[in-house]
Amino acid sequence: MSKSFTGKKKNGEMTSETSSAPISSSLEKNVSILKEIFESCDDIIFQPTQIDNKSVCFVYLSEMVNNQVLYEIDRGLSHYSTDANRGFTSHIRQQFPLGTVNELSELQSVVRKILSGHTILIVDELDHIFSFHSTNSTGREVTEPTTESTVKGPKEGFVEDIHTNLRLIRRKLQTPSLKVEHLTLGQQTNTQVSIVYIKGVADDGIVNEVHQRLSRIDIDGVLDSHYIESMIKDSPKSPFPTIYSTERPDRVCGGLLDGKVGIITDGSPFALTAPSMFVEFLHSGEDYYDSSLASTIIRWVRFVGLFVTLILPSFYVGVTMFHQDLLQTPLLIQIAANREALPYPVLIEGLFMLLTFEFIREAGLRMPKVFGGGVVTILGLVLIGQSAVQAGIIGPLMAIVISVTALTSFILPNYEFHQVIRFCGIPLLLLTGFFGFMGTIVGLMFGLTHLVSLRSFGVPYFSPVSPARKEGWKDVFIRAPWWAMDTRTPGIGVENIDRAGKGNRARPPKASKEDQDEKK
Amino acid sequence: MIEKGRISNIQAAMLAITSLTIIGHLILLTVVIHQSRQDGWIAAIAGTILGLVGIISLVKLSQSFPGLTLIEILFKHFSWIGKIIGVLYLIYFYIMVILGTRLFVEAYKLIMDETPMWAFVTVILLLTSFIVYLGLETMGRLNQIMLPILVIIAIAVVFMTMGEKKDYTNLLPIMGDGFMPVTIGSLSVMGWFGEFVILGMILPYVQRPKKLVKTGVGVAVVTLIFFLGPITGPIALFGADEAAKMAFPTFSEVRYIEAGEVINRFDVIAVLFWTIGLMIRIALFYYGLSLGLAQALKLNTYQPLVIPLAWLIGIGAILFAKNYAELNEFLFESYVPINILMGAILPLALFIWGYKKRKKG
Repeated sequence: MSKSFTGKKKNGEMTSETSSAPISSSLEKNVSILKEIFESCDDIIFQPTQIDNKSVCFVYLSEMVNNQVLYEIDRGLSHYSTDANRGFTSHIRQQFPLGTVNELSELQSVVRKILSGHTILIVDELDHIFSFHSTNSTGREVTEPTTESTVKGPKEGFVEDIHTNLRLIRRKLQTPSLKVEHLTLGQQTNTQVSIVYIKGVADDGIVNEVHQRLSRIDIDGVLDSHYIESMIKDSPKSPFPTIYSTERPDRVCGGLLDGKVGIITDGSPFALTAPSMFVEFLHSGEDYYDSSLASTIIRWVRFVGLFVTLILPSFYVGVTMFHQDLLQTPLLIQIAANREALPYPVLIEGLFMLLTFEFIREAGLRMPKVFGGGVVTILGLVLIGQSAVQAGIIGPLMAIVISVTALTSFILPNYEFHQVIRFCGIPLLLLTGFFGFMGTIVGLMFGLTHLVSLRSFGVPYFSPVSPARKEGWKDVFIRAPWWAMDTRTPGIGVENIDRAGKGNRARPPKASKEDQDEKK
Repeated sequence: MIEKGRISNIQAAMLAITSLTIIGHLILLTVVIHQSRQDGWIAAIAGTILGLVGIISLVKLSQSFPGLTLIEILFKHFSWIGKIIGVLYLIYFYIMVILGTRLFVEAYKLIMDETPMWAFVTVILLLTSFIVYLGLETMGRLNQIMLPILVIIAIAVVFMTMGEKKDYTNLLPIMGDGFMPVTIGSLSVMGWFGEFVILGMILPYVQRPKKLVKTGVGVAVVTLIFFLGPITGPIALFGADEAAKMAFPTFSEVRYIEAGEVINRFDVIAVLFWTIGLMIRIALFYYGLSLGLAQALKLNTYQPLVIPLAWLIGIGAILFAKNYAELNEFLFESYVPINILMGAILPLALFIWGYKKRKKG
């Protein structure tokens, strides 16, 4: 039995004795147990009533249920009479649509159903309790995802409600092979977590591993999918994300088709897909909806962007401090003239500017909307672009370098990844300040060594580049046209990686017989 | 088994290629140009063929004891003589690691002469300890990513130095000084290929051990191809007499490039090559040393040895030679004989001995 996370045993907590207790057939006893469990919960309603001489009691949380449904339940039950010569249970089964009623025989599940917004009907002299699906689903509408917007492709994004999210996935993958397994995590939050995968495509070992890692989680509450992510990722100390979190159902479905396992958490619009490779964090969902050529070019722009973000400040520091002879003379003179009057070493300048950028960024995010984010941006621009340079604290070139770095960091499509890469620039900058370009390269090699040593659910993080699986390269360095994407990314799912027929490429019709005759 | 990771044959080959190529470009080039002058390229080809003796006997030795590293083979199957040879190999690996570390320092001293030696030693040993600590798979993958990048850059450099400044008639006359210089040069190249013996620590961990002969020959051919450019380039650019006097001829060659009006000097490329190439080389021998020592001491894991060995390597690298002249002396006088002994003669002898032993048994 897992440890409890409350200070002392309160009535509200399900102790091991009460939770597994079966339901008694006495109405009064059941109600009194429930009342004890829900002591001081003023929002719970116990509504005893009579249905054709049978004493029953409705129990529900007033804020969680939909009143319309309550009314329908009431109406459905009012038709019942003992004369009809059938039991109460079969009456309910006939009267209510499939799937809206459950019969429960354990107290623990009854409590859980009440908490998730179901209406409970306790009937005297029955050894089970009915629960009616009456959850009041007031949540966000399905809207365009805010963190991953695209020009082309589907525009819907996940919302907080897990049922809506599962619906979005089911609607795209209409196959019985799409398996959905529910789990409940968090002792206080009892959050529903669903594992989704396509049977026969996803590797069974990985599905089991996900299952195991999830069921090992023992925590009081799960408020966002990131809680889960950080607890199930392979290398807990690594800053790099080895599980992809996305707001886009199409991205999740694409992952599932590749043999990945999706994890959807109630209350979080971010679904997780695992295993995830490094290159994926440089792919945007839109890559797959645009033409092959355009996507390929944009991918390379991102690769370059990644490098610029990482090393541009270091490069500038290295050039001005150690390797002046690298530049052609006019540019060197320009830089030297610029830097002549500046009081601080270029390394300090760089660190100062990076810090300033972080300030502006954070202020722009946290500032109450009333003030308007634009104010910060303008302030920042004036501060960086003009004042610091004019006051002679910062060289104009450094201002350009940091601005470009800040800009390119936003090329990276995944937010988590963007965060890590942004901060990686700082140690690189320090190393370069001490050792010149050798420091930069050593720093990059440290990072790369760490990256290639990572695994995501047993799959090497840098596959299919290294270890090399060249079937996967058509979705790494380029984005092959769809007619050429006849295999899944190797190494993730099952061994057989065929995903499409070989004849998907449209070809001009063969020359007709008459043409061939003419040629002869 | 201490090492649980497996690498592909290609990854193993790539490790050998990087390790051999970087040492070839940094030091062997100087030796061979000095010995064979403009006939260096003939010496390289002849030396490669000689070098195959060591490579193939090592591979065969490894194949006849599947799943065992060189040190394990020596300690388990060759009685007390094997144990002595095993210790010799460990010392040899140690010397090769400190040689790599020292070369890293010397190369950087050229461009950053104010930075103290221990700073460079610390940086490279921290990095390589990290790699060795993470194990063979990490090293193989890291190299698999970096080697293609280096090759692409190297090809770009070759194209950029191809301008009219190069005069390939400097390579004539062929065999102008008789056979002797070529013979000596080819022995040096053979000794260089003797470094392949470090793969004895890795070969048991490849995925397809049966195809290793092909892998070994592939390594020799590719390394030779990578070596032909640098051995002809400096001679074509500076002439045989000038090139023979240079400490790092490739570096001088790279410094000569000008890519139009954009970038003047290509020191950075040299820096990139040294750092990454020597990193892989040091890590490879360092790994062999740690693993071999752990196996000789019958430990369950080699990781606890990594940090103590780093200290020993660091001290060794600093005490190895007083200055570059002394290091150069070692390279010219001792490097080739040691490598021919450890990389060709001993593997061949061990293979024959092992073969006879198995025939008897």
